[in-house]
Amino acid sequence: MTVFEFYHPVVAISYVATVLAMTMCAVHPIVVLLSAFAAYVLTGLLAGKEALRRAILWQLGAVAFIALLNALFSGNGQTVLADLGGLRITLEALVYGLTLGLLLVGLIQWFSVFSRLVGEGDIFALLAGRLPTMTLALTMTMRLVPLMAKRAQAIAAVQHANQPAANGFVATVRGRARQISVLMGWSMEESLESADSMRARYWGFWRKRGMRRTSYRSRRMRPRDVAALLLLVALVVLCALTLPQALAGWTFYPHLGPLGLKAGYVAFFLLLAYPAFLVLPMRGLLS
Amino acid sequence: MSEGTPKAIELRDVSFRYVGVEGPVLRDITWSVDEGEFVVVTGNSGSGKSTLLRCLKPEIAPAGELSGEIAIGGALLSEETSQLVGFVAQNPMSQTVCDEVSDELAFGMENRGADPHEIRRRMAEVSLYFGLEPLLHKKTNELSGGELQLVALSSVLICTPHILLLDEPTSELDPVAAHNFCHALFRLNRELGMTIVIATHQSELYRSYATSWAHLDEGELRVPSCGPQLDVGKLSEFSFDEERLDMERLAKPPHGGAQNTPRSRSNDHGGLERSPRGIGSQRACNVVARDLWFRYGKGAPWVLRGLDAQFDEGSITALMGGNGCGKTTFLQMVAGILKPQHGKVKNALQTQQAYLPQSPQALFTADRVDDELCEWMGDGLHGQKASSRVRRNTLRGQRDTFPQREEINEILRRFGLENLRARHPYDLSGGQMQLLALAKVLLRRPQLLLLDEPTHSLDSPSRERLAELLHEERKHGCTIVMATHDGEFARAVSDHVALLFDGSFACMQETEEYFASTFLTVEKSR
Repeated sequence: MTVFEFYHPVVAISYVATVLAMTMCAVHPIVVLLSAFAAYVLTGLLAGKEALRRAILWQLGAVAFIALLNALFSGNGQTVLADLGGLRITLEALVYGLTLGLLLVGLIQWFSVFSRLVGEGDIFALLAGRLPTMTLALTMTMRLVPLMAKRAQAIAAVQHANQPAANGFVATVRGRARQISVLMGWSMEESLESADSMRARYWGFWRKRGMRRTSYRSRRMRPRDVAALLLLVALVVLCALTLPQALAGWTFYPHLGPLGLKAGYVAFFLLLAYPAFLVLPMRGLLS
Repeated sequence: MSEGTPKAIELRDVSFRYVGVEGPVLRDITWSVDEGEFVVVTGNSGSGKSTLLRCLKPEIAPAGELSGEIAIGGALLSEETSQLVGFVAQNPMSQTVCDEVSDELAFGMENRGADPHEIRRRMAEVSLYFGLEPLLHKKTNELSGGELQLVALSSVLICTPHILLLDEPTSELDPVAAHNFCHALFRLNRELGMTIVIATHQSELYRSYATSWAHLDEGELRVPSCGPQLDVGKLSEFSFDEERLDMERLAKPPHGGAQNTPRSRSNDHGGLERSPRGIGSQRACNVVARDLWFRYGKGAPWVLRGLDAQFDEGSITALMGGNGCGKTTFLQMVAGILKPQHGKVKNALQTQQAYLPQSPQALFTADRVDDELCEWMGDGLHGQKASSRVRRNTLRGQRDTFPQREEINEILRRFGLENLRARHPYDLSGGQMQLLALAKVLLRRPQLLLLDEPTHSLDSPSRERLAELLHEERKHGCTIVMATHDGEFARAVSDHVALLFDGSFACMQETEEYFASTFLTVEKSR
């Protein structure tokens, strides 16, 4: 249960989209750090400690790898930390690498948060009226991928049980090829029946009548949803006014620019903390 | 058309011919269905039942030449009147489109551009009527066949049809689910007055629900001349008796009695000679399972818990038990597909086994029925090599010179598939597909035959022919283990019945003894 479930899905989608856009535009250590930190906090809240631990483990490795790579091969920057026989490792290159790495894993983590905040059903509901065919293709894919995987297993099992003598590379390859062709045949056959079932339930009817396909999931905007969106807009405006100033003085090369405490960081922090504002009127429901 | 209240469905001189096929599938059918009737259309596989039903729903009408007049509720069939007709097909899996149950339910109404509030309201009503709330937010892939078919029915009902057409809706379901589904239809018919037309070979199942019957034979429709009351006597000639297996014809030879007539196959199947055993000698147990424990993943419930079993050579054992009790799991374990987490399966016949899965589609690799049967033949059990050779042979158009063609012809004839040899396996009806799959595993001449629901979607004549063939295999020393819901078939065919319950066998008895001591099976009362 997340707080966003009390609001129209547009609220969650707008929030994540805004954060993603701002993080991508601002290659700045503090902004990137704040953004990644928020993504991890949300992951911990949404998916639990175990998922957070696993995410952090591989992502720390990835950040370290990117930072090291940049430090070894960039060569820019003035503050030399070590000189490995002509290979200069500079503080600036290391910081730039760390920032880039953190930006990358932060974005990945935001996408993971996004998928937890916004169910595919919400997206389908928003798209259904406009892109009915694509929406249906998506929902069918969600169903068919695990189904086909299960079937592929069943086919392999049948071939194995009836022809246990398949040894050697050529036989294995031939066996696999046959399994794939069986799976294709089966799925195509089934798709014909699915198509009939769709037609029998009036697929395409809306087009003939010049109407829009509807979605039972579509939700009405309540005043609460509008208020939440207005708050988001306000925070974005605040960021837009203050962040450029904070970013303006910053440079990576040749020297790291001055960091200092700027109003822009606070504004960005408030934007990240947006879910907390949403919780306030819903406290009773979440406890 | 006629005076008084209009008929729900009315056909006048309707004939239908498929594109490129000679001879009509439906011939001059004049037929009507009253409002509120529960009609069961019977007929053998390929008699045109599906075609007839599909002709009543223009969206899915087959491509071909239709003549005559069809009226729904007194008005000629059109896009408008078609909305009064709902259609449910056979396979619950393939008629499902969406990932989540609620989306599946809403699908038809969304396509018609209905108001979301209206859709939700109808969804609520249909969920209430069938008790679907617990399923609403589940994934359709996670439902059982019975649940999924009920969802399919509900997703049609939500478009508020007046007439429901159902094409073999219960033949993919286990008996309990089939009865539940029937009951759902019964309620729609009697409580809401919905007109229901079912094409099926399971006429027995609908016996107490049907208000009238029709029989299709070679495209001609016969309607028994009986009143609104069901006249069992008049109908029995084509509807009820064919459901029952002819027990006398299938009378089993005594255990091991015919083993002195082994099939001489040494010339065409190297190394497949079976050793007949003298009557009374100790039977070998080539398949033994000891203390099997199995579950699908950590934390999942145990499917098998400490199961022990052994199967005599040359015997037929029927594994019975409810849905999800582990019959398939156990068969796959014997076949070596699954490994137990504890315990051991000793299967000395693993290289000479054949396994029929629940979905025949998993077996089909060829483009033609006869090529399908060739695949595992040639040098018999070493199919890998043989199949490539067969493929080359068939590619050169040497289908008719294939050495085992006699054997293939024989089994095609016995299963009534000889006229379909050039068809694509997927162009067969559900029952014919199952027969082809059975023929394919039987032609391997296995020493161990593992069958998962062998009578699934078979009509009665086919079940009888299958019973004969299984008895022949048994005579030649083949050990047969079949998981089945079909108690009648188990009773007619098997030597032993094993009842799988709660992870192990609740009993494993001789068939006669088992059926004599059951107290809640339908087969008991016959």
